[in-house]
Amino acid sequence: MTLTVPFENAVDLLDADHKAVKTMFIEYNALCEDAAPAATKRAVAEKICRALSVHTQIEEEIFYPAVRKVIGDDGLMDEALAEHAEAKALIAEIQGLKATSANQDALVKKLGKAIDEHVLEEREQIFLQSMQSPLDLRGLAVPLYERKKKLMAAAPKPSKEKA
Amino acid sequence: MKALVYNGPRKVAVENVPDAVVERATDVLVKITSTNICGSDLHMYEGRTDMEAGRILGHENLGVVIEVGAAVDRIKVGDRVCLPFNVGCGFCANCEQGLSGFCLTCNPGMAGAAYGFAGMGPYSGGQAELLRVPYGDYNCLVLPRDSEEKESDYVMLADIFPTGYHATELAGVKPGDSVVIYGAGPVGLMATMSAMLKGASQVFVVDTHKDRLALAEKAGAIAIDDTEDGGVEKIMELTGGQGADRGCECVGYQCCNLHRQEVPNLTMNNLVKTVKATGRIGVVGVFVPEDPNAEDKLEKRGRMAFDFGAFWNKGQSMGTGQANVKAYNRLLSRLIEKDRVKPSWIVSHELPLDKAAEAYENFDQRKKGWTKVVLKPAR
Repeated sequence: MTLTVPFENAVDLLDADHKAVKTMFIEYNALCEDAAPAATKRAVAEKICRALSVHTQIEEEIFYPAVRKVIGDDGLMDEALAEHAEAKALIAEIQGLKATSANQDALVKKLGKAIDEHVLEEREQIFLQSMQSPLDLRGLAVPLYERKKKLMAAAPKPSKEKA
Repeated sequence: MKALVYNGPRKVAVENVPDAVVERATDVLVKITSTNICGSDLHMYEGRTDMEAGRILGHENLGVVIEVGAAVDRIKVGDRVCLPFNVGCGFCANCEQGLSGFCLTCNPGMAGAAYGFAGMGPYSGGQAELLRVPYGDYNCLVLPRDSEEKESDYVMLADIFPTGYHATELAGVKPGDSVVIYGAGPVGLMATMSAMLKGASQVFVVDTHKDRLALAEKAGAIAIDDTEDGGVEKIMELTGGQGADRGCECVGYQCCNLHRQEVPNLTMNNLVKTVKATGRIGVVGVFVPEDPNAEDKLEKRGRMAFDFGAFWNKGQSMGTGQANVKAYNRLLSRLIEKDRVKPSWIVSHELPLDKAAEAYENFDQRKKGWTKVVLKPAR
């Protein structure tokens, strides 16, 4: 059975992740300013890490190789991968922290800043160039969506996440 | 070519950069003859956006076409064109509906692209000798024959005249309406002119800068000096206790009280107070979804304490967002051509591009007499 894919194309699907994660980062910063309990902040941090892990994985498995083949700009794609690697290292560091760690705020903020910069470049360079290329972005939305659903189902749910 | 480059907060300089070129077959290359500094350039200048260092500013551009791409049919070399600050494709769901300020393809992921603007796509600005215009057939407004002598009028069609007009459209201004406009900057003054054009019976313009209020009076408005904070009471009295029929917000998120402290919700809540029950408010001042460098805690998160209870209780409504310049620029250009309006009356300075950095400094400090700067790169 095939899933119904609500996204018009791969760019819409991937950027919906960007927007969702941006909202989470703003929420996290707000919690810091409001001196929220560690458990509340931890839940948001874990949610961010989970969303970004799945997002970077589907991009690297499906979207980036397809784009690389079409736009012929290896430098651009290598840079995107390097930024992913930096983000993944930060995610691993955050996931490895104890819930009450004092380092979490600084690491989440650092991750947020890195993601902001990566998203801006991705939108202005990779997305724009792929949209102006012969790449079948509508078709690509299907495997991206299916893979994302599968990975999200398999990802461990944070224990203290609020509904 | 020479261009005004953003190098960080309050650091701009005219530098030599690689020439703008035709990159895609649908592009047009324009030699810029007039380009304005906009109040929204100051958000970037002051470091209140995530603008990247090294980018060229300038989204209010006019010039002569010097090259067209292979897929451009309508625009010809030699055409004098004014470029809407919005970059649109013409074929997405929003452009199709005339909502060119919310193009879905020119800035993927976001709705809306512009030249030289933070978060509005990779397009370089036109405070430069040359500008690349994507989808030239769609984005260029070819100007009437008198455009050379009236260039400082026509350049206002790139942004502030349509944006001021858009404020009155969002507010639904009709003949006979009374209108309260917050902000006597260039956009507020253009909204004033537009409200007068539409036959408003009374236009109140609220600001704290006397030189700007004097310009509003020149346009036929009733100037409300809010330096002593009594603006709301004055408007309520002049409207017989009812409030104005329509309201326009032409200030945005960095609006200040009389001590030049930022109070992001000041104009919005004053509009709720000074617009009548069932009245409509048009908001074209820029507000942002996140403002990490703000002082105010809510503002940092892109929020404000809005008097929603009073807004609901009065049955008011509101329209928001940046102008779709292409929805208005052709019609408004006829008003200039036929001498019905002369938007250049707000211009205080016409300067060569080399003087751009000092112009930014003076404009940013709201120095007396610096209302609108037109840069002339080709001079």
